[in-house]
Amino acid sequence: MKNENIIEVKGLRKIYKTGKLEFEALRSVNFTIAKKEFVSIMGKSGSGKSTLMNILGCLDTISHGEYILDGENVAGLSANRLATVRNQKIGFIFQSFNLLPKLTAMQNVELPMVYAGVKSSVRKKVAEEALDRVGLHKWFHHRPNEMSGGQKQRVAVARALVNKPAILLADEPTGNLDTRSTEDIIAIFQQLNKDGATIVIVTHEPEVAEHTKRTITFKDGQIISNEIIENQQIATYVPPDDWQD
Amino acid sequence: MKKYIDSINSAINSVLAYKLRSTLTMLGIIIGISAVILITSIGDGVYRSIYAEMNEFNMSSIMAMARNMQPTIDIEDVSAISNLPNILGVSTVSEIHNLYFPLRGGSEAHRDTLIGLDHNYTMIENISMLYGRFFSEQDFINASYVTVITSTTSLDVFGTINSVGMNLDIEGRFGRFSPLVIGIIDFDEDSLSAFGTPFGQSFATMPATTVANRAGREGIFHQIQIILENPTLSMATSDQIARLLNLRHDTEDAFMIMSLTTVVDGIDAVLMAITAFITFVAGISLFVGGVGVMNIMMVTVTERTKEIGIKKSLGATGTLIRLQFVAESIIITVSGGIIGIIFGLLAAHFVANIITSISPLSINMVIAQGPIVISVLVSIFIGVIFGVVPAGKAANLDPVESLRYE
Repeated sequence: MKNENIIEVKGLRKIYKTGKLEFEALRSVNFTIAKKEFVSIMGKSGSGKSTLMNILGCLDTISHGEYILDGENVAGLSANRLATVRNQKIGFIFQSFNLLPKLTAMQNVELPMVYAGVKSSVRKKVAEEALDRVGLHKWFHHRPNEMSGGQKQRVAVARALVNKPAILLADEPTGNLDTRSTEDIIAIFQQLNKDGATIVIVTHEPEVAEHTKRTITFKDGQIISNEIIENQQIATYVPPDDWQD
Repeated sequence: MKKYIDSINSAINSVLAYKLRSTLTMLGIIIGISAVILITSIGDGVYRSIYAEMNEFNMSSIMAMARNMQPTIDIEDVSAISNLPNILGVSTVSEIHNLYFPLRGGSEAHRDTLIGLDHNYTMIENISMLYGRFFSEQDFINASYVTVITSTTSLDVFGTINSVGMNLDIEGRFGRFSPLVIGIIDFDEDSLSAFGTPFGQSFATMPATTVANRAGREGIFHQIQIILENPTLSMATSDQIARLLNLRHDTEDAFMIMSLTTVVDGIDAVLMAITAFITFVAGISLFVGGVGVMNIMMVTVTERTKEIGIKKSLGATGTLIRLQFVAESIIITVSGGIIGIIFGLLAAHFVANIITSISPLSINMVIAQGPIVISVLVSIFIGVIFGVVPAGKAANLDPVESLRYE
């Protein structure tokens, strides 16, 4: 049976144990995300949304329940297998960009392909295409410390695209950006979604959530609402003219 | 594959990023390796130098003598030994001390040693005659009253080096006798009489038979030198001679049997012991150096926590992370090893020159491949052993925690 769901979460629980204390960060969560969806996950801090993000990204493990990613049950996988899943199925975008400072933009973008064993010539081509898609035509050889926040986040988005992952996971992607860059990044996400990408954004900003198509809201480790957004805001993307160098 | 190269590149960048720290970390390795290279090079050079000096002497002779001057070795012993296998010939030496050679034209007497030699002696020692001749076989058979003296004795007694044809007076507890001087020998000051008991510069020699006649039992054979056919069997032959002598004289271990090969072996053993000791101490330095590397690597892992988290989130496996840090550890230790080898060779060169200028040995430095290869292998080994623990720590970092690390 062909399953249109990229993510299926059933009865998901996450319990943190510190010494004798147990803290249940996620209490029996259930939801699905289908292909080509554009979903935002909202909630105050402590609501469990960050925990969920780490689990969806296979950075953290489930205590109970099921997480099926692109048809594969992620629960019992070995550490190496999880690394492969992260490499192949998930494209991460972090709030603080998380680029490697000693590598150029090009090298940063190529890195997931390096781990995937992709040939050098192919890597170069794919990386250039990805950087083009995010509007960074001539910044291939600059290092992160030579870039603004917005540019760095674009590099991070390009990096997330190169292995053609099943989902893009963004954790507060606009948290460290100014208004203009925020608009640009959201516009890029919307374009990517239009081109067929499945995107999940964790955010606490309603303005960001309004630009997505569905919002799942968390409180105290549980989903309190799961709503389609009627009037999705469309961000406008203006390519900056100070980038042609 | 590029992903492994990426790990190694990260390792190289990490080492180069903190040059001072990396260099200090290498210090223990550098010291340990250079010590080993130094001692093995010098030890090898000294051994070869001594061996070369020894080869100027006749390696094929064994000396036998009683440890406490008693019992003396007699003619039957000599015959018996001559009949053992591997014996080319036996040369007898008897030393009569405290005889007097009165000086011509004066009332003083020169106190000296009379040495009885036989015709085989020329097989053992290089005698260079300044004037006249050495004893012939006839002299031995006839027990002639002839003498060969050193140039120093001749000068002292007669006032001239060439005293061939004159008579040398000898006085002492055997009465007075005056053999004819038939030859003057030039005795090299530095050369040892085969095994370190030099006859000295000033003595007179006479045929052993003559001396035996004159001195009775006292004149018989304090020392014999046995010439071998096959020097490589000297150990076995030495044992046989010792057993035979002890058997004949009903003693146990009363005789000292020495050959140059035992002396050389003795020196070799000392050198090996010194080398082993210094290598052991160097090993301690290497161990401590390795611990230092491990310590710094733990710090490096902590510093790189965020980077490790990012890489893991992108799909780097624990193996790749491990590889990066073991590679970094190896880069440090091998660099230290190579620097240590260079320092060690330079130091060895320097020390060899010093030894050559202050001692009779002349040391020729040869760069031996063996210790160098072993040093490199040991460096790699240390890098692996002391890198494994920090690498494991890195590989097992929790991705979520690592990403939060600032």
